[in-house]
Amino acid sequence: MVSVINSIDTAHEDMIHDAQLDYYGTKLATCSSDRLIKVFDVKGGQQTLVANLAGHEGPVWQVAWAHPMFGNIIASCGYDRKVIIWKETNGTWDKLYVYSNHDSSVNSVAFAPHELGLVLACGSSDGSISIVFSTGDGSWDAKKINGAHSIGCNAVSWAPAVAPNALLDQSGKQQPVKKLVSGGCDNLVKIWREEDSQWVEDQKLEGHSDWVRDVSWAPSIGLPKSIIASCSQDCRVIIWTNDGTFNNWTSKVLHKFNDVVWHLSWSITGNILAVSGGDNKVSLWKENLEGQWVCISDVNKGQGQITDGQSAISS
Amino acid sequence: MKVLWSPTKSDFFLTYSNSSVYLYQTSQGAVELNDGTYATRLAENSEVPFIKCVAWSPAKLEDNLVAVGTANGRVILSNFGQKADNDLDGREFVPKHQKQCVYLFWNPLDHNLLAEGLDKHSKDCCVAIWDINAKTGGDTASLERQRYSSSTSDINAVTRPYVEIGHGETTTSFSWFHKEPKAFVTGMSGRLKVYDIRDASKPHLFAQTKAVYGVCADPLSDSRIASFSESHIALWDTRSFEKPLLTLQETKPVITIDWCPTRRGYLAVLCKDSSTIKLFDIRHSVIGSEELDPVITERTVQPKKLSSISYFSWHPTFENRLLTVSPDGELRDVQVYERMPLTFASNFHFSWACGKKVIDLYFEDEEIDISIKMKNRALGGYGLCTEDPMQNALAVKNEPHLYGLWSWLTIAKDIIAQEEFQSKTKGTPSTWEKFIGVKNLLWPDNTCIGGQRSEMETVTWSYPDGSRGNTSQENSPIYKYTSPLRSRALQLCGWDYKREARDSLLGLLASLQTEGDFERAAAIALFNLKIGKAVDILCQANLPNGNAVAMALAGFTNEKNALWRKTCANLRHSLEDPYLRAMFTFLSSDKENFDEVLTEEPCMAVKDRVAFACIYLDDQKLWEYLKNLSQELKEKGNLDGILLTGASQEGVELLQSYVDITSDIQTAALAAIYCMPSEITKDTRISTWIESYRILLDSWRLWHQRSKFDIMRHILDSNIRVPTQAFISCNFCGKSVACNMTLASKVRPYMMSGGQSTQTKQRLTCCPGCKKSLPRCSICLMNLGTPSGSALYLQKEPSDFEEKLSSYGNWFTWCQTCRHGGHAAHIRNWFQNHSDCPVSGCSCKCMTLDSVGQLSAQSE
Repeated sequence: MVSVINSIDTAHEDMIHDAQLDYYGTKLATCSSDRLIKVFDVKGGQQTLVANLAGHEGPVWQVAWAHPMFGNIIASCGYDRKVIIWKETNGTWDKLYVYSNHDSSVNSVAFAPHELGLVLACGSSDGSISIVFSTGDGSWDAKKINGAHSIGCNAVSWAPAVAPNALLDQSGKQQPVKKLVSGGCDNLVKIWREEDSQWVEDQKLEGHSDWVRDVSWAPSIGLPKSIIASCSQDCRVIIWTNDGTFNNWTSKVLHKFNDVVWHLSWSITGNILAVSGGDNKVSLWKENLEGQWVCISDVNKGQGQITDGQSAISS
Repeated sequence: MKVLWSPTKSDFFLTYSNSSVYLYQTSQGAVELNDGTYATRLAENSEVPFIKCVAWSPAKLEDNLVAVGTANGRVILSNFGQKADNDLDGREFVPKHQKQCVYLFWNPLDHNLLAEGLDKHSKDCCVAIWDINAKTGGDTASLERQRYSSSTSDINAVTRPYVEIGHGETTTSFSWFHKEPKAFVTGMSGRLKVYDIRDASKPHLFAQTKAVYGVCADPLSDSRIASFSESHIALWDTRSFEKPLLTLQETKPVITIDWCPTRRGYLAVLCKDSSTIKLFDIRHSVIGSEELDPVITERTVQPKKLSSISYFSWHPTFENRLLTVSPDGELRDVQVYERMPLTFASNFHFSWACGKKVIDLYFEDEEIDISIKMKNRALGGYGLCTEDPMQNALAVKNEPHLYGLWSWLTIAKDIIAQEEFQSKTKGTPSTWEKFIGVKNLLWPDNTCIGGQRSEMETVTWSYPDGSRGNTSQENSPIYKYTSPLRSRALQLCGWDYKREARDSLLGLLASLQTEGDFERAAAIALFNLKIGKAVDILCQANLPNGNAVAMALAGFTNEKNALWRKTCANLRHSLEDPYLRAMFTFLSSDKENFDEVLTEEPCMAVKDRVAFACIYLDDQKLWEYLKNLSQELKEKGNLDGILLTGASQEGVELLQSYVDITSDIQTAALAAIYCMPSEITKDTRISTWIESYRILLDSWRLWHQRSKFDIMRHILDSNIRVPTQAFISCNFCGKSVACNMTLASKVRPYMMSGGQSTQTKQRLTCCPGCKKSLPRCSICLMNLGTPSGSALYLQKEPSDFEEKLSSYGNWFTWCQTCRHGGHAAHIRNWFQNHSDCPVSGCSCKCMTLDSVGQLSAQSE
């Protein structure tokens, strides 16, 4: 058997906009138009609902888990222009902090690598990106990138902290990378870096011809290059690569799909890219030794069936 | 032609035109609905003339009961002639005056109520709500009407509506509310009116509007209503009904609109002469006292290019499924696709959401991703056997490309140990550079100029009969090259490698024979000119063509025997084993030129090729050969090449290209730490692999493996200190109570102030941060607090690191559940006789809860 497929009835009353597994893959958080976030324990194919987090006053678009070193912490963002940080203490989930400094729907939320502390980025329809961080003494602070994407920012994703081209500090130790990538309604993918405690644009990647729907920075496990995937309403997925020596990013179209491509996700080693599109398919892609991206598996959600792609895997 | 899904049976739908109603069932049949979806026409009803509208009963009945409204206002119930446990089939509902039926709607909860809209009549109502179970035929009014009627079936007719509304008015549209079954909204004479049938005398709410067509209440949110007029769509909220919340403008006249029954706020709109259905995702929120502008996301669905749609129906239960029909009756089953968010987890679970469900996929196959393989290897103890690195190769037996690396590491480590032993006994410092590769060993400056001065000597064969050749008699002598460095290289290749103090070559041959590797043993024997030994090995081996090969070898003489050579050359090409081939190539080739032995594919293992080259190639050729070979292996990311490069910068490049190709950072990280300490330790690539691998182990919850990995790093390179990863925090200030380096200086005064200033009984019974007392031991009731650990900061000599500051019995420990605890020795004594908590009043079964076995079972 290649894989075991399992369907979870979340009992959400409306459409689910995001589902995220925690660092260990043992907890699942989902969020929906029904304004709720649900937390499930996932063990051996069984899911148990452990919490309903109510606090948003509109559809909740995304959820994100913090690194477990901070405890069980979830950040959520929604149509109500809020970002809520939730923390579990002795089995009870409570609001830890509410950030409400956006003027429009907050579409995307992502925790930074733990090396940077408890930091998260939020992208909003007001076109700005906020970087919200815990100051360590229980209070929170934020920095804002105004006008990051005109019309709106749809997705944010952090660079891995351990990167091949990381800067070295005086003692020769690697400094964690502090960069993020965003995608927006201006059809652009932008990379941001912190410089003198201000966030500045590092790169502007032009390639899409319609709204960028999702961006995802690949985990760089041992590879001497940085890789970003972006997908768009122009039906394309683009892989952006930087070889680590200069700040040059080269682009390669992974595939032109028949419909809008909504979401992307990398496997933990960055070897497999999962893509979901308006054609109702989830497909898994892998780069072969010749540098070509090939579809290794197609999953049709309607039937829950798996059909193997080009490089057939026996099932 | 219009379509309707059955409200109760998910695989039934009907289509109707002016003259007929057709019943269909999906799954298979002749009617194609979509790629791979078909339906069968089950029944038809063509008996009712002038059909105006059809409504499907929401009651869960055996049969498919539909109400058919006609041009003269009659409503006829039909179940397509099926057998039924009710007598509803054929029942009619007859209005007082003959007027066209405008619409029909069953009450979604009160299944016996059926609303009918009728054309305007000055003396009659325009909305009639029928009770289908009302008495039939009996009342006088109906008898009277029968006299004027041409129909003969009026015995089974209901003539008195349950409720009548809107005398002399015009009704255009109607919708029941889904959660308040007595209420409905109707478009009537330029107004939208909300009625309750318990008091139908006047509307409860109304709004003046042109948009009186197609009114529909969102089945998932009763306060939300949509209606249209011409090309405008109006959205209403019954809580503020005076004006529409929102108006949408279309370019063409609207034919029909309908809310999605499975998704809140999702409105489908069909315009005239359009091949697409527009979907409006309407989000309107009131946040606090503030009303946000509604956000509308618009999508279009095109069932078929260039084919216009005349009507559609949402599937009542399947999420986002629509059935459309074209003017010429072509049906399409359409799925509206949602955004599906995705997530990959570290434990090979991959989940995505779809509508209200989450689908979880679990990968088990190692072929899908190297990370699955890496985790399995880690579980098998891969890389954690420092005593004998070769054991690690056994953990990855089925992956031969890893073999070269581990055998090189094993030999390199043994040589290092031997060297250290010798330098200790002789008292001379070791000249051996650790973990060096063959190429760097022979040419440390990485250039052939000025390096290596090998001796050339003429060597002779030992023949099968035991005789030895005579150098002076040989007409083509064999030249062998030797130097101290070449011998070392042969050691690294395993050819001259005394593991158990046996004759190195004979020992190697014997062990190869035991492992069943006869071809290799024979070839090595032959390359060492022991032709007799080679013949012996082959004869014992019982190989498929071993005897023939042995015969051929036995017949070898060094005289230029043309026939023998020719035969050998021919036989060679029929041999598949690289070692057997190499033997014949060696014997039959020109003694000055062994290129073929080293280049012919498939070739011998890298270590044997290198060893061969180290014996028979002169300095210039050997340099060229090793340089090219290491370059080739480096590019291919072949770990066998580590034999040539060693733990050098080139070795790192080789590992990097191996990682690039395989993503196996596990092996790269392990190789790097086994070579420690070495010149490459500081390379950032190496630290990246090590860190990445540690992160992977953590994310797989393989904490034991990760700890062992850290310990191993420390053992192999004592310069590496892994920072403390667990802390005990103070109940009051939350800071660590451990005396780490930075705190040590501050802490010391308190250690002394306890009155017990003897070195062995140093105590710190308060938090170094806030100076509050630490909890008491639940047995002896003394405040806890002991200097524990190896107290690095107090020791200058690394050898003292292992010495603990206080004995284990004085450390403190506690139950992870009730958080009660005390000195380790006390607690241990207590739990020898008890299973519950020593604190009186605490009912915690600490001993049964806190078992190591349980923990390890959970981590699986």
